[in-house]
Amino acid sequence: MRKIVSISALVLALGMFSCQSGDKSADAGIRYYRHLRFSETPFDLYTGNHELSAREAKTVNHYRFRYDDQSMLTALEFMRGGELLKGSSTGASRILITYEGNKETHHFFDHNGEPAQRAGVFTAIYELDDNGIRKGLKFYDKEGNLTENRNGIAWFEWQIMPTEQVRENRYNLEGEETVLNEFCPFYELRFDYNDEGWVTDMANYQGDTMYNCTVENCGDIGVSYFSFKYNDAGDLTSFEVRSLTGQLSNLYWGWARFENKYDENGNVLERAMFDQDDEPLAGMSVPVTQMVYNEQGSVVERKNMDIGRNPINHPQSGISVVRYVYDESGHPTDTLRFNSDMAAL
Amino acid sequence: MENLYKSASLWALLLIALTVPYSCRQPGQAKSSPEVPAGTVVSSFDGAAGMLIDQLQEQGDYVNSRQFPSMIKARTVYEELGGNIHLIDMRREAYYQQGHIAGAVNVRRSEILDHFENEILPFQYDKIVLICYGGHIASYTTQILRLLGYGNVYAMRYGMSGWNSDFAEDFWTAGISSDFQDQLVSEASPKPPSMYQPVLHATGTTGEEILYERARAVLAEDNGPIFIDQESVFENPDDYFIINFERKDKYESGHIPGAIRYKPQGTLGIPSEMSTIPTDRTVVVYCGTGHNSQFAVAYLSLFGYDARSLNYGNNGFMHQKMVEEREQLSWHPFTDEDIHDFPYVTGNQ
Repeated sequence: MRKIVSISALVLALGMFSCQSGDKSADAGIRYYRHLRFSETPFDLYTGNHELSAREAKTVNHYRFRYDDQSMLTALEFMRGGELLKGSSTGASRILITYEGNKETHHFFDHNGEPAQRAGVFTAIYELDDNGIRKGLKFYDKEGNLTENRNGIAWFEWQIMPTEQVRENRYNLEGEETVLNEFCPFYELRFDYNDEGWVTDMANYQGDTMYNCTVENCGDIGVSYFSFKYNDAGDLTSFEVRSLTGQLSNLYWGWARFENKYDENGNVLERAMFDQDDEPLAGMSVPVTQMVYNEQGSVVERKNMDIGRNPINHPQSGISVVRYVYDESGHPTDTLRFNSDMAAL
Repeated sequence: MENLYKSASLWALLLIALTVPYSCRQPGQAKSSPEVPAGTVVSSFDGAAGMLIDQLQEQGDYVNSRQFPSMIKARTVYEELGGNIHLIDMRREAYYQQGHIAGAVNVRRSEILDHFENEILPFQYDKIVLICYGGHIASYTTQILRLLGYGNVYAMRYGMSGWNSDFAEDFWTAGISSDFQDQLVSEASPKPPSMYQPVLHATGTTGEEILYERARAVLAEDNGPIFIDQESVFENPDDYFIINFERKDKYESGHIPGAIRYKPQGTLGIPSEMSTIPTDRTVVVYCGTGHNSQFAVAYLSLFGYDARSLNYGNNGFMHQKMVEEREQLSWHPFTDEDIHDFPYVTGNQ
């Protein structure tokens, strides 16, 4: 329970502005962050990483957290200089949150501020327990009918285990237990958190036993659990997929782990991917991708590299470098593709 | 001037000698020499092999897709019986008569293309499942059909051996052995340099024509053996170029002397990797069960390699070691757990 209490404490901590670098924010009920903390379940609260001041937020892409006078999160927006942007990692440029009794309702909006679907869902309503901890989530369409998201999930249920793990089960409209998604056919998942409230493991369970998912073509030995590691700033540095016996195991996409390197702003500078032999991806896959960012925090270049960090063309597309062009407000306007000789494709 | 004429004549003769063989060769005919100069990496194939690999990549590069290798478990087939599924039993008629899955039709490997092209409408089915004795011939054939674009074809893992114990006795149960597990080595053998161009004998002039011509050839009855037994390999390992088609940790725990590890994902369809496989030796591919290796053998055969799959894979020579290391290395030793008790019918039902 200690770790779950930590998660709850995180909620409170978010509201205790007077105790945290108060000079960062000009407005009492607003905080700005460059990134969101990594998460694998909607049980997790939205948490910011790499805080910005209000002045910095005028020129840098960020997530704006707005709170009410009860320190409850009421809006999460991806923006720059007060203007909503596309590309939020939440899947919505703006999420407005309302509270009523034990219900926490999320409404989704696009970069124009118009109501929009997120993953096939218009509204998501959490059910909270007496301690304010999430215990369920249901999805609704535009007309307010219960609906399934794009992965066929109509609702989630969570339970805090005596082991301090969070147990997650998902159901479709028929009330049948359903899988995470078609590529990860896991039914019951259990999550572990560290003392900071960061998820460290996600494991498949059947009954009370961890088990291998051995769906055809999804790894040859089965997938049982995922492990996540972070740097001191809370950036995800390592993502690993393992079998019941701890062997690295390929996911459907043919990789078993990746390592991220970051700059001081929490931007991913490089991702190196490895297969279940713990060897750099080969064949038709690119092992290393490097990114370059502008001062506003938008990625402006993505480069395919071999494990020696030499530029390579993607074996299938022939693309080596992709450049992204933005307007002054940070909206993407063009995408340019080149081979390793920098010839336009 | 006379020297000039002599010199010019010699150059002309040399030019003719160099040009004639190439100008007369059709795209599908074999090159005279399969090897390329040392020190270079083969990044693409020439002639018919190049046209064939381009064709396969245009069609979706199945061997590097997430659908590869397309196996299906007996239990899944059982659960889908009665659905929109077409079952093809590829065994000899006598075996088919002794017992087959209800609804399965008996079609031999050499007749499979005619069956697909003239007897059924393949795409009206959600799944077409190929069934054989142990899953090996079905794997080989599934590979070829998938490459031809039949994206709903699957090989049933362990074949009829996994369907009912009545069929396992003569095949999978008899096939498992630990006879050679004391001869395994752990040190890795290096890959040869990238230097071999596949040799193809085809008359087709387009990638599509070459693909169909080669598919018919490798599915034909007289195509030659697609299996090899354990005794042949262990008694004379130097006679073969042996490919271990498995995980690194399994390879390192013990492999056939001289065997070289190639990645199941990241070898086929990639010229720089395939060109390290000799075209002038018999290639033996093995994996845990002989299923994935049969997919590889079919692909290599399509490109003209003399390739064979080691029957039953690791299960055929180090079964006990697999059982002992099952937890540690996630081996899949064939056991009674893999044999179901699903119903079957006899005769021509």
